[in-house]
Amino acid sequence: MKKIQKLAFISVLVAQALILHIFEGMLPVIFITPGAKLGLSNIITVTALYMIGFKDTFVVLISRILLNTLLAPNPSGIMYSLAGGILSLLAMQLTKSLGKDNVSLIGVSVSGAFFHNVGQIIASSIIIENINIVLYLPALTLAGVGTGIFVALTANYLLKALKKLPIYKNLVDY
Amino acid sequence: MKLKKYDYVIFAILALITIISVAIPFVFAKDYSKALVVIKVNGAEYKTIPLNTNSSIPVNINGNYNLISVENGKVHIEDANCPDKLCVRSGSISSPGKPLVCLPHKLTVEIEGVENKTDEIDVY
Repeated sequence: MKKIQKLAFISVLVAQALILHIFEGMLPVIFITPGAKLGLSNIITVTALYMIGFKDTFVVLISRILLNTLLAPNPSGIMYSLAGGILSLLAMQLTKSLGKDNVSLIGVSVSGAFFHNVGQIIASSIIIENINIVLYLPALTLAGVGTGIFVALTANYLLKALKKLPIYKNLVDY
Repeated sequence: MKLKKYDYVIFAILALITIISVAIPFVFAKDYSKALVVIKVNGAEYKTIPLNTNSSIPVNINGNYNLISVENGKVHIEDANCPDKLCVRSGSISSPGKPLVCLPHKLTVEIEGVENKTDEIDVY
């Protein structure tokens, strides 16, 4: 893939992640526990990880978070997003490196969801200086397993569809 | 999509973490002679009141408004002007442990127990 193609592809992924984020904001929320979210943007992160590798996915993630912050009513949320996003991506890269034969998209996505929660809880407990927020982790973990599976199933369809397209065929490592 | 061996390992680890973190508060549960409701803003104590009173405490700091209500041994956040209102929807707490949190306002409401025995030792 040429450099310019890659740049365009990264931009498309960032745009898709932003749209999914806005769309998620419009959905009626089923309230499970504070902080639990569907995490639709994670579909893009997982897909990108299986297509353009860790470094470029990191670029997608950081651009997405910065642009989300511009759109968000409360810009102070960036600390939580960065902590959650980066930790989640690192966890997904590590899980993915176990090998395709050992771990499926579900495992990668669920561990990503879990470490996203861990990152956000660490950031929150530092910001409001109260470690007891950690007690929200069990409920968030259960929610994260659910949303992680949903994200994996969606990304699975997306990757399979992309694999059929001649330009992306060699790119999809799935 | 088929699950593979490490997928099960990941699920098992997460289940273990969840079970342990749910069980810990029960293992270390203590008897308290009385409980206090501690409201903190920015990590610093704002106000402390006994849990067995019925009262509403408005917290208003630089336009960040939360109305905390203590009723029949339970605490909940009645109203707030934060954008997400997650604190209002969090429900109520009645024992030490999980705090009520309003992240945008950096406010937490916790219940702290005063232990029976240590209290007496302090007196003598």
